[in-house]
Amino acid sequence: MKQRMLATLAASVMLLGTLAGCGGSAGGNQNTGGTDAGKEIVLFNLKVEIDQALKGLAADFEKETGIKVTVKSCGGGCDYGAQLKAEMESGREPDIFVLEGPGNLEVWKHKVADLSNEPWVSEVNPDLLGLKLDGKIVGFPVAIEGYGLIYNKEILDKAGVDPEKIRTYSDLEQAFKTIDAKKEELGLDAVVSYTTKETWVPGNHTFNIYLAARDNPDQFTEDFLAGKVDVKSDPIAKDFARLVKLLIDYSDKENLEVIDYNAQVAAFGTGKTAFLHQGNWVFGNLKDLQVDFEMGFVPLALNDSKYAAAIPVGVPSYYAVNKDSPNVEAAKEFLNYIAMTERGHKYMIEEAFMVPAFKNVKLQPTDPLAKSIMKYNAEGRTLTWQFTKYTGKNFGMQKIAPIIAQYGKDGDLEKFLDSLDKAAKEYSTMTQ
Amino acid sequence: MHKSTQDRLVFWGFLTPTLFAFVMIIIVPFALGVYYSFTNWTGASGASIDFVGLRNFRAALQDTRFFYSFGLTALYALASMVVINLVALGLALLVTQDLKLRNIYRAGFFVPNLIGGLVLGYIWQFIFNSALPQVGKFLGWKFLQTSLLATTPRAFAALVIVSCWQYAGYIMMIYIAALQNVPRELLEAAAIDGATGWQRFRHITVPMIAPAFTVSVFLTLVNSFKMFDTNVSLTNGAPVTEFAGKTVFGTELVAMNIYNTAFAINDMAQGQAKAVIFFLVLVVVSLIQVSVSKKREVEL
Repeated sequence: MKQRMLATLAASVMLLGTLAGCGGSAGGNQNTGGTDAGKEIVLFNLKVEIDQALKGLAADFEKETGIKVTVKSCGGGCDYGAQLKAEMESGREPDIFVLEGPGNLEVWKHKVADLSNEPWVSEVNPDLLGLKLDGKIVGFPVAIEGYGLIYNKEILDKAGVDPEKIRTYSDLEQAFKTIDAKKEELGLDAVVSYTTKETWVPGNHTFNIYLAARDNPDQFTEDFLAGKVDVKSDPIAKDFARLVKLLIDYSDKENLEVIDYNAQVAAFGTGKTAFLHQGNWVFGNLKDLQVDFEMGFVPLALNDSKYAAAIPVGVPSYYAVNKDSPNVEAAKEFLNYIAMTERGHKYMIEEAFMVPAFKNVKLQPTDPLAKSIMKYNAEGRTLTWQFTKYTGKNFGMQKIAPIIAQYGKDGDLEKFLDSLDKAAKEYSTMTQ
Repeated sequence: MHKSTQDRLVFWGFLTPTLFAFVMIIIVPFALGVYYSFTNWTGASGASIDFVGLRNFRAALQDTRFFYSFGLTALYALASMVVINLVALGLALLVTQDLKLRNIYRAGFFVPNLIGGLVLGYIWQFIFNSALPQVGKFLGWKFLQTSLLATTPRAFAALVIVSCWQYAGYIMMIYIAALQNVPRELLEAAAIDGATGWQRFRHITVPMIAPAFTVSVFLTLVNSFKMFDTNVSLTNGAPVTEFAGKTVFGTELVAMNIYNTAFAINDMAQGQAKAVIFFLVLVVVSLIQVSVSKKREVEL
């Protein structure tokens, strides 16, 4: 009997342990209690690939001003939103943190400082200052980024495809078919390197085309997320489905849910595919693979409209300053250092390979993908980033991505449109 | 008088630090968690918390994906419980024989358990995605040529394989300890009476090691239910599948579903409600399991 009691007790205790893991930590509003207050700021960085460059910049900033900047990076595959909550509870809140868009701002709106009067504001195109709270600018655009289908010029030349001429869906389909027919002789495994495993690729980037490639995308996205759009009767939805099908049919279809980011980029970088559905951020990875072919972007063209010939360009992330920090002024100074000094420009362009949002930057990028984006930008062939409006709840990664992956498997158009429709309606009724 | 005061001092002196830690990291978060499940808590520090009644529980119980995860987890727990215990008992029987180097075998089987689940998941992901397809191509075996993680049933099997690889060594240790406590004289007496090896195993060894079954089945069951780290690193929910007319992540176990609800979809309170439901189910399952297993034990 006694033994049984013990066993039961032991079982209960262990179970309690189970749930404790799921429980939240005891919340509290501890003030940031770092030593050297005012002299040390903590920047919680989202992009692990710029970690080294950012630390280098921070070291020079410390030399000039005496303010120490500690860079903490959220490693590859790390969930920044979740980690930020932990950092905010850690007792040493970060002074500068990353907001990926309005969705994240909603979560942290009680924490962000007003940046409207900072000198760098006048150097940014107003379209790219999208992160606002009650009309006040609260986000420093870390960089601009663009994505689309990155092409391998060598392969396209050999196949006789001119990337400059791909402007509509039929151009794109034709190019895919031409290359697919010569797959063997070009040594390709597939035409395009795509993935549905990395749910942000289909859920955020691909799906953005549906939301943005139309007149008045802001209004449409708002309606869509409010459940007011009848997806099934929207002709652009069918165009979008056609584009998704094209991407999936001409990629390594069997392994779509297995290919991770590295595998996806490596397949393109080693010349096994002609196209890569990614953005200019892959340049660092491609450089590691010692890629020497010419490359650029072609649009993810879904129909014949002028929007089909454009690529989405936007601000993937903003720095926000923690207004409860005792180091607000030091944090602002660091942001100005990035935007307004030559050292900062050098960091952005030559070390972090970012495309700056600031007009005062004179340096030219050597990165061909950045150049390609600037070219699209100059020609006005850009789409907005609508997906940042739903990253706060990860609608794209959690709800849209599986629908796209499923469509890749069964190709059932009716069900695809119906699922998208339902997902939007469900999102609109989500609590909070 | 003096002595009892001193005793009490020692008692509390030793108890207090552990009790403090236990209360702070288990009791308090648990109570807070239950409280949060009835509120609109967002997890962002400084935001206001309002009581919303059973709304989170209702939403959790209407979530198809949550039900799928629950069913999948039950299946997974059952499968890995059976597989791990069979493999562990097999290994234990093997390494309690008179083998040369048996200590090295024991250590070898135990080592995977020392590797963290996340690392393990990534290593096996590489094996399933890159190594095995190459082997399959070399041998011309069709079923190995695509990754084991490419379809839902196969990815499920992959999860069971990996957790078995990780956990069997640990359970093996429990069985070894139990096997070594089986009295020699019983086995010898049975052998003299003409019992075959299988009869001795079935009628002497198995009843004698029944307490080890209780513990091992409990541990594997509960651990499989709680499985999270390897799930995230190995499959992260992929590939997708269909369930009750909805597209769901095919290998999302319930712990990962709770995590995604709380941290990805950013509905902390609903995630917490799911965790409470999960806890209650787990209590019931474990109590049933322990009481059933207990009946099978014999005492000397």
